[in-house]
Amino acid sequence: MTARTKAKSKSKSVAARTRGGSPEQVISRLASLAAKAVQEITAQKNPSVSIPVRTLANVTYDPKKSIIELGDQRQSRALFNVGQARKFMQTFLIASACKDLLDARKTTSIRDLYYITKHTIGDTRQNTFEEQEESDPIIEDLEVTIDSLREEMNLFASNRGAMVGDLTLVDSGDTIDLRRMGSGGWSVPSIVEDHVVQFGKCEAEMILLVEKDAVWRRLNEDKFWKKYKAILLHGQGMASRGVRRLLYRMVNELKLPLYVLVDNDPWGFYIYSVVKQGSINLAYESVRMAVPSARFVGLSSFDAEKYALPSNVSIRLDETDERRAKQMLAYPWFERKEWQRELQHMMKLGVKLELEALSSKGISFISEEYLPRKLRNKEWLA
Amino acid sequence: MTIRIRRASGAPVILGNDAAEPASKRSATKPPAQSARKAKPGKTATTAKLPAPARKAPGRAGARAKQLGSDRVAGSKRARGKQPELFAGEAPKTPPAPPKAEFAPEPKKKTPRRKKTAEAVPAEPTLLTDEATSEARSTPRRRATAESMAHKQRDISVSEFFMKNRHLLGFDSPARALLTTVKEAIDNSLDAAEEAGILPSVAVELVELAEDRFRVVIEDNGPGIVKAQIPKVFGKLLYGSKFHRLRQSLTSDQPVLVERSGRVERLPIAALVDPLLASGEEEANVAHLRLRVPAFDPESWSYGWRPVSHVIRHPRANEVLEIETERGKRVRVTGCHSLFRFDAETGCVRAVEARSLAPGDHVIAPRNLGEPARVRAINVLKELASVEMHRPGVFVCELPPALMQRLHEQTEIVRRRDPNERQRRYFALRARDEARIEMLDDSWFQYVQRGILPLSLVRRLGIEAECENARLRSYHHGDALETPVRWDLTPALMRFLGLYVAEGHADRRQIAFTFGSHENDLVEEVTRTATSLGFTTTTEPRDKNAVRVKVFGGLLDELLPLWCGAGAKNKRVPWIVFHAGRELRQHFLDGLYRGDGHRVPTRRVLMLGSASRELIADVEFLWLLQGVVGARAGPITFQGLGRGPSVAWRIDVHGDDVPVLQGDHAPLRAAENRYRMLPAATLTLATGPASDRFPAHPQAIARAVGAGLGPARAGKSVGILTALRTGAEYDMATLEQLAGGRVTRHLSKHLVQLGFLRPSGAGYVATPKAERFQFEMRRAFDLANSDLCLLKIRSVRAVEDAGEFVYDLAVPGCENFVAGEGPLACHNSRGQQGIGISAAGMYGQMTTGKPIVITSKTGKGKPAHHFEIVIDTARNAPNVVKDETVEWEKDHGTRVEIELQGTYKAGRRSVDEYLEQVAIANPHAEVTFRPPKGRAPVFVARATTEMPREPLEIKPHPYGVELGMLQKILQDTEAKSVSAAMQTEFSRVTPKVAEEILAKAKLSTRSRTRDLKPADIERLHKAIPEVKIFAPPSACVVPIGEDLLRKGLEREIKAEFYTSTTRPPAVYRGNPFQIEVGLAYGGSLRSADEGDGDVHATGKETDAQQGPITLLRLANRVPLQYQQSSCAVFKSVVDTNWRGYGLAQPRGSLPQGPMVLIVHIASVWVPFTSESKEAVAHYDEILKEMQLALQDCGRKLGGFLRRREAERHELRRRSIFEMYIGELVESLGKLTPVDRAKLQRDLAMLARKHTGDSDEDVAAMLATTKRVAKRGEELDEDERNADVEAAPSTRGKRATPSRADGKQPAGKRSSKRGAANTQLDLLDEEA
Repeated sequence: MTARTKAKSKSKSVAARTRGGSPEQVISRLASLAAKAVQEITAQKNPSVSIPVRTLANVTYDPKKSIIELGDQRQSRALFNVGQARKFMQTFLIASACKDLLDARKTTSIRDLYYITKHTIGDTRQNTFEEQEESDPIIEDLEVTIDSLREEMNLFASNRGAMVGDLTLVDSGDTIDLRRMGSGGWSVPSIVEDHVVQFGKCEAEMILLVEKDAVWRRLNEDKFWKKYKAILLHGQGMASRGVRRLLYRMVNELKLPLYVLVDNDPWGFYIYSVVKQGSINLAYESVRMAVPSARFVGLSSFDAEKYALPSNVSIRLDETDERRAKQMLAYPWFERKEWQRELQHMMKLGVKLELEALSSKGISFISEEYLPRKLRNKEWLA
Repeated sequence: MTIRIRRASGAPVILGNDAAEPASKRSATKPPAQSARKAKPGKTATTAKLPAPARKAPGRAGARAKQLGSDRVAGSKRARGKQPELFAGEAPKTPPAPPKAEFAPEPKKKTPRRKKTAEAVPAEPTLLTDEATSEARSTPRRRATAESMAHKQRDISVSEFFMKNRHLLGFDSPARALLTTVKEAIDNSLDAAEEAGILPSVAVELVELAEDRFRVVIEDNGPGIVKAQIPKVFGKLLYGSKFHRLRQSLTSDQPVLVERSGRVERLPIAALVDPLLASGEEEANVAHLRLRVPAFDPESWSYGWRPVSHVIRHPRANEVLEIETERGKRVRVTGCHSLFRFDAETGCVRAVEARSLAPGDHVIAPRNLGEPARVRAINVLKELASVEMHRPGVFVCELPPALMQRLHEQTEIVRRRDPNERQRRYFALRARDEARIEMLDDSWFQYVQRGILPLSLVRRLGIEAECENARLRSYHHGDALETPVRWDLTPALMRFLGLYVAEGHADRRQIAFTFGSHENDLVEEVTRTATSLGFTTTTEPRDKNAVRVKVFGGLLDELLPLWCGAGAKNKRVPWIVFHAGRELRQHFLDGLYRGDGHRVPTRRVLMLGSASRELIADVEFLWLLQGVVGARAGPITFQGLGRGPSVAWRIDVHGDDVPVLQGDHAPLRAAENRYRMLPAATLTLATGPASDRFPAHPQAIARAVGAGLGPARAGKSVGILTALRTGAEYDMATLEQLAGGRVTRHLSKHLVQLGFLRPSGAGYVATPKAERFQFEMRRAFDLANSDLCLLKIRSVRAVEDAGEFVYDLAVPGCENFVAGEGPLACHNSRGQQGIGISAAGMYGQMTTGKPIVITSKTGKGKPAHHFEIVIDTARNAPNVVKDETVEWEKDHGTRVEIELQGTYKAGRRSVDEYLEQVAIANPHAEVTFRPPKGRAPVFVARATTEMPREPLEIKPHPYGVELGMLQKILQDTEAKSVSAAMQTEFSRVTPKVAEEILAKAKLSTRSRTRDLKPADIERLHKAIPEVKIFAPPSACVVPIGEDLLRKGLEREIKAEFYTSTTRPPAVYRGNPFQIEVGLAYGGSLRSADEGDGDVHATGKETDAQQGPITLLRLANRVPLQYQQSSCAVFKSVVDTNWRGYGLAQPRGSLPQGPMVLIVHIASVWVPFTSESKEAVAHYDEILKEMQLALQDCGRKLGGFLRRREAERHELRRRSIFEMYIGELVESLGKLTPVDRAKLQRDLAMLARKHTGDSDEDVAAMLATTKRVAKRGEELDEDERNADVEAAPSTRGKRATPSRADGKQPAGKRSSKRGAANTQLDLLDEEA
């Protein structure tokens, strides 16, 4: 199941058509976007950019593929609209900066791009961007608009997540043996496309994604990956695009099963769901990131009873948690009975559990008992 | 009419030989002593030795001393009367006690005025000629001393007053002095012009002569000031001068009713006024003559006899109209003269110009003239004192011994030989004309001993008054007939007089009545009355059906023709009848109608015909005193028994109101006097011409407005209509309760149809019309119970030959009098000139020593008078330095020049600002200002040609009168009864209201004011609020008007937004007032403490930085300049929540922003907090009204600001786009090859397309984008600078350099600034 084949399905997913955009292709797409605007201006029309809508409303869950896909709703961003003028200007500002970047064949971080494009307008006290939060969504908008990933526009985010395991890979020409990464592990770069990262020898039989680096550290220390022939990585909370893309490649290229170990709280469940089905915000990238086969290994709402965890390790659900849980109950990708049960039980108990709660049973309880038992008994959710 | 008895100064007069008296020149011009000396050359005058020891007539001297004393008192009293109360303390507190005189002449004189005369003619009360007066003024030395003393007293107070109270008058600092001078002059000019009906045009010029020295020149186009008045107006501090108005007047022949010297007269106005004015003089103050005319109080609508202050005569300038009303009343007036009309809408009586009247209109006429001075008895001798007659054989007997004693002591003994050379002794007395009367000793002794004097001697001595209790003896066929000198007015006498007027005539030494032979009762009555008066009668038949009663004795044959006129065509009503009181007058009328009256029972009319036009007019007047309006007809020409046709006049009185008549002239029942009925025109609700008059009866009123389907149902309708309250709901049961009976659906439906009710659910809701009905009903009752009636105009006709002069009377307070054939109410009023201008002149004179220069012209073709006047501070009198006639191109107007020490400064409280406010408050005025120091002149054209309405004076309303004030009013009132006092001293108090108040206060309706104890007054005070009294009328306050106020603002202040509100009149403490608020906002307006720099204050957020608004306060259109923070206006503005209307407002202070707010209070009595009249007191009612008005304006402002905000939003959009255009062009240029300049142009065009602005704007916008943006940043600093640089100046010429192109309209102008501001907005939003 490659992304390409998926793209052939009825979905007009943007990402599907834009696979493999070279810098030249991206440049020409950017230019044509600008040319269209100029053309409209010359024709004395209100210049606009048509941008796919990146909200829940324009997201569909394909139960067959079990991934979240972007719909074909588009919104027009026009210059002569008080609410859109600024963003319109910013879109082209980013576009022109990316073109410069591509022309120079250099990559840069999105933060860098923010600084590159940020300047004061004319002599006013107003800036093109005031915060990075302002520029990041514009980049995502541009991505979907010109059907090019940010990576293809030579933009990267900061490294997030670390990996160890029974695997050798080549990163920008350097061979990395993930079995010898010490306690810190290999830092997962933002861009893990195959021209950057290639896989080498792999002895692992599974991939384990851990939500938290603290738990990852425990498992690494206990050499869990060695014992159970696993690739162990964490995403420092929500898995970044680099981590997810890497997971996708590993699952698909190395044919390994993916297990996800997260907290027993709505946020943890959501991390699992993003890894599995993709996110709403980046729905256009689901096809090249989502791992529908990912398995949930913990921590379930029923684990507290099952493992007789002391009640004092649980934390009360706060309002945000409850709200999120309710939202998730409604998501089509949580429609499955098991998930509904999980969420409802969590809400019924009114508490959440962190992975660290398992440490109350012993410091290596998680690596020596909990995980082996779950994997052994196939006590996972999918 | 007046005949002086002339005497030869030196000729011996022999008693009993009156006929021998030779006529001679008047001796009165010579001092008594001198004439005495002349009278007896070579002869010795010795004092009388008999019967009492002779003394040198101390009585006379004593009497004179007394007169001097009282004169001085009178003089100072007058002076005090003119002065404000501040002077009261400085005037002499107690009059000097009159020196005692053994034989003081009559201790009480009728009028103080007389006292001067009394010196020359001691005991003569009624006669007075000009010579006598002037002579009296110019005589003795002692008198001069007294007068000068009086003068001195006055001077000290005036100059001291000025020195001590400069601050009160507004001359405490050089800057303020300049302002006050301008202010006073302008106020005067505006007042004068307005009063004269001229649209004012005032020019003010300040010429800087030196440091701190200015010449103030004020020129107006007012009516000008008559020459004689100029020195007084400008050269006398506290002179209450008045401008006459040009729109007046009656023709010379119009009869007026006037009471002078205690006697009512009906005479042509010219006959009254001409003798009081010198040739060429246009008006004179006649207050000292105590003339009184009937005038109605515009408030209580009650007639009374009120003093005339001025008489006026001027050349006719207008057309003359003869207005004739129903029932033959007519008056000839100039077209601009005012009559009165009833305004049904407001229920007020309004003065209207005659030329605006048309047939069918109703004008006001008196229905009941007030009671003239009451006369209870009459001294026959005094009556006849002025008649020249020769009547030997008539004596005055039973003279009091004291009188005889006094006379005897006054005699001088003269010895002289008679023609037979016998030595004779004569007693000499001085006649009232200073002639000498000599009597033989025998005769004199007889007189003294018997207490008797020949009539002729009494008359010559002028001691008629002292003979009041004596008797008059005459002889008829040898029988002595005696009649009292003093006749008490009795019903019998009145009827006797009535019968005489009807049927009597006078012959030599007798009078006779001719009756029908069947009229035995009348014969008997006349005989009885004559006998009771001591006369004798004979009755003899004449022809076959007539009887003649002759009456002999006394002076009847002289007296009755004097009183009643001689001959049928000259008959009149005796004057005493008018003064006899209501009841006695009725007896006279009874007598008159018994004689000549004719009753038409079928028409219920009582008619009286006469060949004497005067008599008919007198009777009409008499009926008016009785409260009955007669209808006059005539002249009626018919062929009588005589040779030629006879001409007769007739007067008819109708109906029930004609009070009791005896005999067969008795009551004419079952009809109401038509004039008690009201024209349907007094009701705005009246439905149709079913009856054009209706009686003031609830059911009749209900029927007049269409309610009530029959007599029975009208009562039900009334019950309902009078109880309805607007908006309240009524079900059938309630309606039946109100109606006092069953209410059929038919009736309720009828009321719905008429609009008094509207159906609501199961019941009904009362509409405002019901309260209107109640208002009209009350009004109708007020009117019916008032002394007014309404007469329909029958014709208005221009009169060709109207004479050269027209005349007027001024009646302060009421400003009306009655005039015309069959009197109608005529309007007149005069303005009051303030004291200020002469004070300004005095200040100028004190600081520079220069005179006031006045040029004044009263009309086209008249000479312009040029005066230079210095105030003689010692005398407080004008000193004319120069008086010449000059050429002046103006038609009329006054120019005043005052040189003074002062400081001119611009800014707040400056002359500039004052004039600006004057211009706002007086949109009908044209103001020109030439400031000093070479600054550009300012001209403000008038915003309207509409003159402000004329205010009506009213009395205080009883509501809200304070206890102390009530006490004072009741103390000072002239009314004797409390009820009358309430009615005359307060507005809206009808007899009924007064009765109610008294009842509530548990006081008798007859209580007298002088008997009131403090506790009574307190009860009275408490009772007042418990009685429902109609609100005071609003005609007395004159608002500027909503539109005019706004126009005034627009004219003076350049702003973006103007609005104004005029509240309906309200009342505080019984005083009506009206509040107006005007507001100008935005544009180039600076706020209070800012300069007139280039500050475009439009941004909302910059408003807050601009400091408080400018608050202008006006009271009766006069700007208030000081003490802002203690003023009610300030408080109400602060208390209003301006934040709700989009203005910044720090707690407890004025709102902030580019706004000018004007608050005007128009009131009869503006309650100032202090003498300086700069701040309005905090009365709740006033504060409330102010707030309501402010809120109204605030709401309008809020709406405007919101609208403007929406417009700005549009601007903001454009500015956003234009801001990003540059960036966009840059980005696009990088991405794709493109002509950047073209792209920029295209985008600019697009921007215009999307924001709907003109090309120029877009171009300008693009060109200035950068500059604007920059300004946005520097804005704060700019404004701070502006604050610092604040250079106050006139607002009128605040054209800012940046807008000098003047092409852009005001709204657009703000756009640049707007753009800058909106950028800031945007940043805020997006941050």
